[in-house]
Amino acid sequence: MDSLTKEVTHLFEAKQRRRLALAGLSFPEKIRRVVQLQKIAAPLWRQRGLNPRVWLIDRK
Amino acid sequence: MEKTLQVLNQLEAEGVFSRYAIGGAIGATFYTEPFLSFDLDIFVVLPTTYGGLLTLAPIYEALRARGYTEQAECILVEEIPVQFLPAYNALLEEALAEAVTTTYEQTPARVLRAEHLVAVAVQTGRPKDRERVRLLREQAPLDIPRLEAILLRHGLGEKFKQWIA
Repeated sequence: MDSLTKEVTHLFEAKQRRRLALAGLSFPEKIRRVVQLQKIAAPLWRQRGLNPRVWLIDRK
Repeated sequence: MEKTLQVLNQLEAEGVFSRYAIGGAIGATFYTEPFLSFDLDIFVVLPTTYGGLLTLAPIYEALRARGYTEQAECILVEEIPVQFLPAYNALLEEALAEAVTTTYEQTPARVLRAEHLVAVAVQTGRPKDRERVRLLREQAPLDIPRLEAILLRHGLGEKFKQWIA
């Protein structure tokens, strides 16, 4: 049980480190990640009858 | 995104609004890990109109004249749905006045301070605002004395304490 708890604690710590690393990305890189999330979420939203628009962020 | 911000900068330079800043989820994402949003919330200080009426009509007219179209409560600016929100109270006026300037790739942009994003979320009070406050407290480099002063000034201290209890 103790080893399982250690393993889970280790996983949560790694997860937290990753989230903080993401928080430290540049703003443009974060926006690229937001768009990745939009691409994942958009089909699910459409199934619910919503019409989200995935951003085109690379227009210059 | 960069092109969208360039259009916002042009509108500000032309006086369509006197100041803008990114808020909402994307404003929060400036300080935290990225999270899902489909809208770009832009807070604006509008020029004073005769009779003191706050109206977004001049912004919409300026954008329509550039060929941009409306989609529900947003307007598509370079393929990004932008929702304009006027600074309708003292907290938002202050938040816009003190917003920070950054650059997005090569383009200047303004973002609300993290402390103001927390205060605005507390004031708005929806479940997703509560989650945003949690995330900002966990990940944003908050200036706590500044945050406390803002919350006190706008009567949000008690609500904030309840939220974080």
